Order: sequence, then C-alpha cells, then structure tokens
Amino acid sequence: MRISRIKQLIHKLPAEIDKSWLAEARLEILASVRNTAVASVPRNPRRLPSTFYLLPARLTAALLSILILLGGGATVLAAQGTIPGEALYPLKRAAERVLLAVPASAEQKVGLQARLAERRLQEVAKLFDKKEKKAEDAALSALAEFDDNLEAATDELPKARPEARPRASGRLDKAFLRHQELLRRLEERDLQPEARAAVLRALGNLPRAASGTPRVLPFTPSEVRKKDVEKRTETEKEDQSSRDARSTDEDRRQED
Amino acid sequence: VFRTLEEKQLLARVNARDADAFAEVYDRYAPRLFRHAYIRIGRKEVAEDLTSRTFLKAWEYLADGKTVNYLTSFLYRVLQNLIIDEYRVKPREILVEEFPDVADRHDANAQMDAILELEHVQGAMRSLPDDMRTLLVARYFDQLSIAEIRSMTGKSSNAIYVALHRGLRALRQAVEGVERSK
Repeated sequence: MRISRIKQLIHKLPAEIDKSWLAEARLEILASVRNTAVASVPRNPRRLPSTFYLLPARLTAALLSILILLGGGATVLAAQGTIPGEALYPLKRAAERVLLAVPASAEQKVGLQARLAERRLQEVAKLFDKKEKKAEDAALSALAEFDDNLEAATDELPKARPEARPRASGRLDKAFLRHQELLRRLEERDLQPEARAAVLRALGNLPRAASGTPRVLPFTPSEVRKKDVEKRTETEKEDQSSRDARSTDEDRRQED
Repeated sequence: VFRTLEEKQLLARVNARDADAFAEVYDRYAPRLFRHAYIRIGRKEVAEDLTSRTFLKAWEYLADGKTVNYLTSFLYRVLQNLIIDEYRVKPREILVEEFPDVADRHDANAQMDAILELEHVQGAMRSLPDDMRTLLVARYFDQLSIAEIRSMTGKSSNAIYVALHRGLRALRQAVEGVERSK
C-alpha cells in the first residue's frame, strides 16, 4: 500500500462519538465551570488583549509599519536575502509575521503562504551550500516550515470567494511548479541522507498539498506530477529502507 | 497559522473566564479531542473520561489566572498530558476494541475493498508503539500542523518529521503484515 494512501486512511479511521454523552458531559463541565466563571465579561473591544486589528488606530500603525518594512526600510530590505543564523534574519521573520497578522482575504492568504513557502526553499538552498551540520539542521527546519506554509495555503483555498478561487488556484498551482523545480534542483545535489530524505518528503508533500483538501477546480497538472513524484519518492525510499529498518530496530531495543 | 477574528475574540473571552465562551470551545473541540483519544486508546469510556477531564483541567488552568495563546495546541497538550500521566498502558493493552460497524454506512459491495483497507490500517496501528501512534494520529487523523504537534509533545520539528517518516514506514510494513496474514 502506498504511503500516501495510508495517510488518507488514517484520516478516515472511524471514531464515532456518542451524541448523548457529548451533551451530558457538556452540562456537567459547564455546571462546574459556571461556579468559577467571571460573572459578566465586558464586551468592550478595548478590553480584549492583543487583537491589534480590532482597533483602527493600531491597524493604521500596522499598515504603516508594513509600508516601512516593505518599501522604505533599507534594513529590512537588506534582511530579505538573509538565512537562519545571520544577524538580520530575525528581522526578515518579523516582517513576515506582520504580513501574516494583517487581515486579508483567503485568496490573498493563499498567495502569501505560497510566497513564504518559496522563501523557505531559497533559504534551504543557501543553507545546504554551507555544508555545516548546524546549517543542515536549520535547512531541515526551513523545509518543515515550507510544508506548513504549503498546507496553510491549501487550507485557505476553499475559503476563497467563489469568483476569486480559479485565479487563486491557478496561482497556487504555478507556485507548486516553482517549488517542485526548486526541490528537484536541491535533490540533485550531494546531500547527507537525512537532508535528502527531507527534500524527498517535501517533494512528496507537494501533490498532497495540491489534492489533499477538497479543491474547487480539478488539479490536472498536479495529478500528473503526483504520480511522477510518488514513483520517484518510492524508489528513493527503497534505497534507504535497510538503513531505516536498522535504526528503527535500534530504537525498539532502546525502548526494551 | 491564521486565526480568524472570531477565534481571537473567542480566545480573549476564554482568557477572561467567560463561561459561555468556554461552552463554545467545548462544542468546537470536544468531538475532535474525543476522536483523538479514542483512536489512540481504543476504549470509548476511557476516551470520554479523558475528554471531559481535559476540559475541566483546561478550566482549572484558566481559573488560576493563567492565559492560553493557542486553543488547539493547548487543549491537545492537556489531553496528551492526561494520557501520559494516567493511561500509560502497555502496548498490548491499547488494543483497539471493535469500531462501530463501518459497513453499515455504505453500499456493501462497492465499498468493501475500502473498508478492508481501512481495517488493515486500523489493525496495523495497534501494533505500533504508543509514541509513534500518537504522532501519526495527531498529524494524519487530527491533521494538526507540525507547530501544533510541537507544542503538544514538546519535540522539535525535526524530531517530529523524522518520527513521522519512520512511523509511516513502520505502519506500511505492519499493514503489509496484516494483509499477508489475511
């Protein structure tokens, strides 16, 4: 059975919930909760913590800072090409967090996540160049984040407005193609086994991201790529199977 | 990664110990947490008990004046801790008991193969060590993000990735074992 199929089946494992238990437990829990609850919560938005975009003034401040960060801030511009471990890298990530925190439509979020995913891949490429253990660890983290961005992008797509979906979907598909190209170039390099496995996983995750959640549009190019990638991933994985089997055995022994 | 305005408001109300908000949290998360516990432990009454206590613990935490940043991660972490503390059972005891009959919900023949596949995966899951099953369930059943699993288990992203990779391979091996034995 294919790994991708197994992933799907795990998600479908049956675990039916007893509705009457759910309702009874709700009553019990809430009864105990109400004893210690704050009697009435002020609904004044100014009392709400850290939801900065509830306040127009702060929203303005956030937008301004983005303009500064993206447009005028020479330092932030200088930070754009940095990689983990460099002095300005935290600045780059801070700027990204600001972008993520700004309210945006689902289709904008799709685009943003796809762009961030691409940034992570560019960092991975630079980190692999360094050929240091520390840089490799950072590259693996960046690959993990790449996956998260991709998933976030795919999750947002169904929430997009119906009229905006085809365009967002098309852009995402183009992003997937660029990601695939970047990952393939990484794969061709002389990599340590763990790094290679991570790159192959990311490649394998690409089509899953494309077809994992219900899509509005058929995803023909990805479907074609999916088979291709799966074939490659499977072959590569077999090469490593003896090594992995050994290490799993070792883990078991340690647990015993 | 993204939280809607509504979620942020809910979180703010929960942190302010608003009972109605907590009721909303229960409605949203109780079914998810129950299923997670059930798939991992395989006993309905234990899963129900764990789910209830997760919410009671969560409320105790809030009643102590502490605040929560991410509801999903927080609730799964509370559940995870309860499972570790009190239901750390030997693997052979974590046998998944009879699942509700899947076949009832389908037109018998057409879905038979799919059901068999599902049963094979179910059977194979039982043979995995608990920590491996925990990660697989969190990632592929609950579809939590790596960041959420990181917060739930305290493991690093890399460790989670490597363990998931190994877990899937071990599961595939186990599925093949189950298929051969049938």
